[in-house]
Amino acid sequence: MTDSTREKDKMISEAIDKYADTVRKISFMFLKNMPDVEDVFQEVFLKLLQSDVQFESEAHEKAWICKITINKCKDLCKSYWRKNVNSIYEYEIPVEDKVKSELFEEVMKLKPEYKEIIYLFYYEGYNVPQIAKLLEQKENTTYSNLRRAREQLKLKLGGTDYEFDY
Amino acid sequence: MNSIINEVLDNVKAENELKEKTIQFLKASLSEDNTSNIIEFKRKSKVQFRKLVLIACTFLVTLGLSIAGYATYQMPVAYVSIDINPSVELGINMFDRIVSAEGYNTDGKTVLSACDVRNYDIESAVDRIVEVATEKNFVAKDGSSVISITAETNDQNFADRINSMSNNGVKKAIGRSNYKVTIQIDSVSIGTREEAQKLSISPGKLKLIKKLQQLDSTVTVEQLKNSKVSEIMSTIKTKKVEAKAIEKANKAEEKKKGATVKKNNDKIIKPTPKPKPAQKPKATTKPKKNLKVTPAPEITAIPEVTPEPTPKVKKDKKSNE
Repeated sequence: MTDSTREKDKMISEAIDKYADTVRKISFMFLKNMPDVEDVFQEVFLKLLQSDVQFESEAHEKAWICKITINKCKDLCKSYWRKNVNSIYEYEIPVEDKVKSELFEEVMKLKPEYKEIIYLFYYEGYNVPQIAKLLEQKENTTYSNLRRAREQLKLKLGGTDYEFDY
Repeated sequence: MNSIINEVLDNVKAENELKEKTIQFLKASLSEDNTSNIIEFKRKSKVQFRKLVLIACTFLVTLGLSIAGYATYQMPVAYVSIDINPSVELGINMFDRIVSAEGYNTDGKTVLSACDVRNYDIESAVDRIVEVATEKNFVAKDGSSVISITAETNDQNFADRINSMSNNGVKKAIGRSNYKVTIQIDSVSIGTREEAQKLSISPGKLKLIKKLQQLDSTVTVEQLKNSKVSEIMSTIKTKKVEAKAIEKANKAEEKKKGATVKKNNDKIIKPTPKPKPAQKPKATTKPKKNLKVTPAPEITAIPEVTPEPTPKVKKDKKSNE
């Protein structure tokens, strides 16, 4: 094994260790099909390793990974085949509490443009301007998408227990 | 909601199998001896080649369309000749624009050398030509000049349009100079134009010469080739007047002749009335005493035909009985 091959293998392992869970979490929110998840994994990591983007920081690198993964998942969701054919793969929400499970189920049912904001806002902890920059959209769009996502959840679940300030 | 999402997603982790598969894929894709990079390169070069072909095709199609468009634009579909004298012919394309201008005689060439009317619309081109002709004193101030406009096309509607626009052009130019002219408008077929081209004159002038030839067969095209339109037209008028006078004289003479012939005919016809067969025996049997009639031989023969010997026959019959 040559040094360059060894170096490459090391880079691959590091990238997987670092971002596999993030990519998996995002793909879990968007995709219901394991082969699609595999596709996303392969493409996102290949892109990362072949990319010549100079990351300013780890946060920048992570934001880049989130953006690439979300875009890839949305592309797959858009395809005619996936829209019209029910998958035989059934995901399982890894939480025992029935109320929590139901809430997450509703999150999963949201439109992709609402799901991405819910993920980035609630899980990754980005604020609205950061999300707008990451998703390359106007801040107002991000604000209204977040508001609509919340309203939809509120409508389905009832009450104001789940409201958060921006 | 924050805590619920965190709780759920914290439990979502990349499966080892998934990780392993991805690692294998990445190793295979990024290894030095793997052909994927080459395939990628080949695909890229193929794409580049396709792009080049597409660009070349687009360029060729654009070039072809441009050439065809230019050729169509430059192709005259009708002509208009302006005769004052100078004689000028303008080629008109399908967009009513002038694409060619030709002088049929020296004066026409002189006018065209002073103005380039290509790409003008019909009205402006005629306006400009008449203006230059006026400036160069080809148009008489006394109003004796005739400007002949002749549309040359097989399409009558197009001919009418050309003539209307040309007429406006002449009127504009003449209106500015305060001259007076007579505008003669006509249209001919492309066939007549070709005939005129062979004779090196404008079709408008040829049509006028032909009109004149109908009145005076001794006139030739060569004689009137360089004459002014006004001259040809005045000759036509004179010839028409002459022809009318001759016609009148002829008619009068014919009337006279007709009258004398009638008289003679009356004389000849009256004495020989048709003899009625019923009257003939009367004339023979009872001739009037006061008239000396010399019986015609036929009439004299009639008594011989009358059946005189019938009593004899009766007598014979009786005798037989």
